[in-house]
Amino acid sequence: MKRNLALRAVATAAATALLAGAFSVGALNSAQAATKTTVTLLSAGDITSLNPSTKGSNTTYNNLAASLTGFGFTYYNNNAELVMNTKFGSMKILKKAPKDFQLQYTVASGQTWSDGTKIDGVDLLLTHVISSSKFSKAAGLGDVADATKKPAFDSLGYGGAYDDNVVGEPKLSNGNMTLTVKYGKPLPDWELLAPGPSPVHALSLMADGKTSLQSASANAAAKAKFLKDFTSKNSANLTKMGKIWTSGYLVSKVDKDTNPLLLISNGGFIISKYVNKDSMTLVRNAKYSSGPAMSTKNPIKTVVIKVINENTAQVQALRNGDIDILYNTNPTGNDKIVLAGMTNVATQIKVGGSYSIFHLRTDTAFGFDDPYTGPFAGNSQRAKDLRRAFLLALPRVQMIDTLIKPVKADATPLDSQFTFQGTPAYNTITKSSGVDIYTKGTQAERTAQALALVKKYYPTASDTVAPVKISFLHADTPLRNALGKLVKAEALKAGFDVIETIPADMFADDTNSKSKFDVIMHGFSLNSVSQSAASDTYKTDGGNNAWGWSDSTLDSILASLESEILTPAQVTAKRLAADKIIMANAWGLALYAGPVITAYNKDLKNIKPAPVGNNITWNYFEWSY
Amino acid sequence: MLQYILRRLGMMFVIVFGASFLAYNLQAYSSDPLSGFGESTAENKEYLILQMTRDLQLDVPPPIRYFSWLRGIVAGLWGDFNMGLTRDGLPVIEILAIAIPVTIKLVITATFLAIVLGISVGMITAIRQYSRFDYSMTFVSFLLFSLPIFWVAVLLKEFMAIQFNDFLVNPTIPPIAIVLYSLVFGLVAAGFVGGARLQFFLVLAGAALFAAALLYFASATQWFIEPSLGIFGVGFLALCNAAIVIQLISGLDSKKGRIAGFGVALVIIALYYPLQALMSADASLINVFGIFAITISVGSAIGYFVSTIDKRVYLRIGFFTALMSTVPIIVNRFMSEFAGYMNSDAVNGRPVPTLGQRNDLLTPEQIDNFWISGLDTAVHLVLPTIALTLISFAGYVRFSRGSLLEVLNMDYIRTARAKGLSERTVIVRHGMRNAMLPLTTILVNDFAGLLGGAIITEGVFAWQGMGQLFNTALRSYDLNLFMGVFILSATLTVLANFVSDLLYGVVDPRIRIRK
Repeated sequence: MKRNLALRAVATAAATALLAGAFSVGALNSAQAATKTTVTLLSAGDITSLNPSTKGSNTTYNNLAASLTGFGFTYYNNNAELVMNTKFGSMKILKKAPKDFQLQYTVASGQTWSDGTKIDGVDLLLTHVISSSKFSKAAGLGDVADATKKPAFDSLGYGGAYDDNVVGEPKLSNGNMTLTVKYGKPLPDWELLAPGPSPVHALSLMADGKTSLQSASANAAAKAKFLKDFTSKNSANLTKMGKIWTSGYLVSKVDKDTNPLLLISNGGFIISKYVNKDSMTLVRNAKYSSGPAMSTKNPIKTVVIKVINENTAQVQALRNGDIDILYNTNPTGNDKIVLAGMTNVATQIKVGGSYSIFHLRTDTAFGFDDPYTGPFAGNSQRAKDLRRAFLLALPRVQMIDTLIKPVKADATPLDSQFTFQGTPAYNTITKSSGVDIYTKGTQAERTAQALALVKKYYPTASDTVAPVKISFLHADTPLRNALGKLVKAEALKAGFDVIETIPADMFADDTNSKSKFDVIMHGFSLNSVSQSAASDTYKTDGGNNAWGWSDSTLDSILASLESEILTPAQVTAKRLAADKIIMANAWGLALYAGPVITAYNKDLKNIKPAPVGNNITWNYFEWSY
Repeated sequence: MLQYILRRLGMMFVIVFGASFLAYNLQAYSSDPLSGFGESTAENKEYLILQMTRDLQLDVPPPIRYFSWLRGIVAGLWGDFNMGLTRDGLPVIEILAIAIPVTIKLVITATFLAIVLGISVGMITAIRQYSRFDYSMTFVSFLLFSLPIFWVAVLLKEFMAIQFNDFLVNPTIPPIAIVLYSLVFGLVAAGFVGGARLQFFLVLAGAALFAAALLYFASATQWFIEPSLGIFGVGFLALCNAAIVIQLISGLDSKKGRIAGFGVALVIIALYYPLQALMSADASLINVFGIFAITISVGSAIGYFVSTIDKRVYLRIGFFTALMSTVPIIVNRFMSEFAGYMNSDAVNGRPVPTLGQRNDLLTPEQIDNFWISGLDTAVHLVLPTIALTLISFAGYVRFSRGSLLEVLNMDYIRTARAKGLSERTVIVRHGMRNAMLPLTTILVNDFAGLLGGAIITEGVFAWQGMGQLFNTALRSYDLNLFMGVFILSATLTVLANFVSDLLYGVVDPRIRIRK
């Protein structure tokens, strides 16, 4: 007891001392931080490379940084329109003949890279090096077709539209400011093929072993050397550059010891710090001149990209101000409620670049042998009727009302495979594509029609007896599972016994491609707006045609979309014709365009999420506090 | 002995080899890196598939591919160590080198805290078996044991980061909250002290009053935006530390113990102002070590010269009192940077972050300032450390309680009591020491497990350490990365088992390794 008393005496004495105000308390510093000049962006996946054209498991995330550090001829705005960036340059069709299609790109003068080197047409040539397999072979950089060996520039760009159609080498003129590229046929989406600028002088310098920024004359000499190596196809020198390009930009961190030549930028920002899988810090590029001018009032001076993989953590980070912008492409109604409840956050709910769709199986998928023999197989009247019956029994309105409207209150079922609501083409197409048989009347009436169709072939069918077994494939996400339950319940009333197949991995070999489903519900996301989009999904033996659709008229429509430069009205007419064929065959039905929630620090101005392209960062030059 | 060690090492080699072969093949067969291309709309999909097949050698069957991976590891014997590249093309070893320090930073404080708190609470509950305190701690530890960490993390973020930062805008505590918090604190303190009903209420009232006074003071002086201990706070804590150290080592009855302990505390208080000179803005970790070196040597010297006999006992008192009493001085120095840190552009008035391991917006000057960057690390560590401590604390409580109870029922404890030793000596010298024996095994294994990372904790707090690496490797079918993490944690686990077996022989004289 005595000891306790002693202890207590000490404690009491100390407490009295505290009460006497003996803690040193300085004058209160009430100066609140001045206007914020920083933005912290969220990356839901790891950033792995400073060069988004090399292989990395997730180019989306690498592109986030690239969108801040590079600017080229075009960008997408928030209306999904491709904007010509006249600050950087201009492009036009120089010649349009069936076998000679020439495009001309002119770089605007007066721009420099962040190290002060002038930007010109030479900087566009690297696109050819990393995309043309013919150039790679001719310059001795490796035969891309031989998959056993790595080409010197181990790029993701080979084998695309540029590679397939480019003829010869691009030619420089106009004091190296203009580049002319020749293609073997007219390309409808030619605006998307514009070469991007790369600091080729830096590549050339690094190939020579330089590890610091060089003088203006050394930079100019390095660029001239690159041009010479390019023109003369100097295999040895180009291979050295290829090595840098392929692996030099793969760094696990950026700090003061990093070679500054790797960081040269022509965008509004330049990388200053980076830790693999963790975060990246970018600061203003003082020499930025390749894009629209930065906002003059309280612009952003520093951007941090923070990697946060976990969903709840992202939301709480936004609430606490640890990140400033959250872009959720898979929102639930609950997400919306939580975000709307945050007083420091503003939200925008828009349609993003993805849509969900039902595809019915008709035949064996391209490249696989197992024959498809399910109820929807073939083009007989019976198969068509059963397909139609299934589509009629899809409770699309109920699905949207229960699961999409809590996020976006004005959501409606999507009625076209090729266009989104809100575009003029959408109204034209849906008015006469034949989709109205799926929108007329109530769902109960449509399900009754479906049951009548099924009864033609399965007389025992009723709203309690379901003789038609259907294997229904969809991804294992809460939203998809909830939608699947609604489909199952309604289809049962039309005589379909829907068995859900929910693989952990939607596209693993053994589930999708080997004839194990009759109907699939899935999402497509667009990364560009192009005339030839979705061609691969619908043409006979198309690379993405996993449902075996085949129709010669549809093929010819898609072929012309792929190869002719058409006016918007012509494109709409072709797409209407295509939609009509899909409706007539009862091949599939679209479901909805996916809503996206953008939630951000409400003090941040001019956040305008774009459905395609750089969703958030496309207009960083307009951002301010 | 040597033969035993060699045999164990040989077995470890076989185990790690077998486990890595199994893990490699299981992971290789269970995943398909090409599956991502199924929904790709890229025009050049076929080229991309060929490219990946080539880079990841997907055309080689996994059991054979394993040996090409193993070759890189074995090549370490002649200094050509190679763990391969990740799917992103970075050397696995470079990625591990970034992740290991992150994990250690995240987990070490929490593990240390959990061990110290868990073992002390566990032992106190054993001494006060079937008391109110015992029951309440048993309840609390089972509660914590069953909490999922992601949920704890969400709550911590909501209340200790978001709400706390909101509170800092106007840090006054309403009277009703003061009353409530004080009562809770009083209850906890009273439960801790225990005793008869009268003492219980006395302690409750005293502690509640004390807490209320502190809270009122903090609220009235806006202490939360400009926190500081001051010389009085430091002094108070130093005296408390001294009391605890004395009680544990010699008992508060010992006059020489009191002289050594409280003497050292008073000297530390006297050193408070002189030591400030060592903690200027351009100080570094070396200065901190310097301060500890000074106080500890002064403290040990005092302890040494207090007595002519039993010098070791008083030296220990001096040493530990100095060590523990210096901490508040350092903490106080970090606190002095808080207001400036909080109002800087990077922090923008919200000092407690919900995630991350550092503030990427700090200016270079702030990063170069040891105190500010230390403070930054500290605020980022607060939430994950609390979460991890809460979760792992429970296990230690239960384990050490059980262990001490078992020891206290031994014959030699009865003998010790019978020969008239004081209760303190019986428990501290004869009880606790022996109770620590079985704990060595779990402690060694827990420290080995540290490097495996805390997958969920790292995920929710966005710390990119070993756990996250493992998770990424699994999700992105990154076989080399997966194996990098696996081989490291497998080797450490096997090693730890070996070390704990050896340690057992050292600490427990009853166990000797058979010749």
